[in-house]
Amino acid sequence: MPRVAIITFPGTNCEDETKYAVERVTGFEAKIVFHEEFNPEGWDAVIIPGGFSYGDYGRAGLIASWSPVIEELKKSVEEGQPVLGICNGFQILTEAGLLPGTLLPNTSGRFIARWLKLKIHNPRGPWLALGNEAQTLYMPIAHAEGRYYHPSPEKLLADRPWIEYVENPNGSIMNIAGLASRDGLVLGLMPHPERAIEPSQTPYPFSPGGRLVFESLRFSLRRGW
Amino acid sequence: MKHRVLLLVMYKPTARDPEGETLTRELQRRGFSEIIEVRAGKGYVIDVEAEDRNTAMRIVEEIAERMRLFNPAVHSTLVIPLA
Repeated sequence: MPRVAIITFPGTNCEDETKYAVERVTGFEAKIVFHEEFNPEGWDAVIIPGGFSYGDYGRAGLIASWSPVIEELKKSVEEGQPVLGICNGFQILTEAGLLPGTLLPNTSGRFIARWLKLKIHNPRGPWLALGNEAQTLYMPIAHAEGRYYHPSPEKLLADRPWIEYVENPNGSIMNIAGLASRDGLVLGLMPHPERAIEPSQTPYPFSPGGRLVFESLRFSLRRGW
Repeated sequence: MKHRVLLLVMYKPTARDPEGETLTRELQRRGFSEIIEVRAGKGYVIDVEAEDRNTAMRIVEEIAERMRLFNPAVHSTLVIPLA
């Protein structure tokens, strides 16, 4: 059975629901591993869940990006291992250089927690394999530093999977809610897929859009992508 | 004339600074043993209309104190001329 590592740092707080979502939707084994105890061998995918690693000191994701686990992930990505960063996990991946760009404080200066409509572009790779071009999805966001910035966004998005905010909540350039490496192997998402897998989590009139991410992983780890 | 002044607000040595303490510890743990201590703070770059640099610095000091840009109970400040 495929095994998924969920890596935690001091201050991570979404690991339990991420583990639940992986197990519930994929049926795979998911294990919560503290970053200093992470052994890169024997995993089929790695998720960095949301939270406030190291209290967001310096910048969100900065201190976690110094962890030796990042060098291990860079190596395993080269060997084709899927990596997903959710919220603070996305911030850590950009700080570490595993994904391009930066996540800045929201233009409102506030923490924003609400459900939003999203749109998928160029879906491919293990996390979005089952998505269709321009498909809409609903997921909640919960962040204070989610304003994506990159100096040349048009070029950046030309040929890579990315997720668009249909209504921009935080001032992200080009309405970017998430984006992946060109091959889709590494995906970063500000929205929380693990909070959107079941109707019981989902307020009217939305639908649980996070399922797509975990269903894509189930499909991909069984049949390739 | 326009003068640019940097106002740095940081915790007094007597106040705990969790951000600075975490940065100190993690930098030392990553092998930067030369690091003795990091104190976190906030910086304001302020452009001031003043006759000369010293007047600009004095204006920033006075406004910072009067409008409590720092809290004298826990903060110390540095006023540094930039341009």
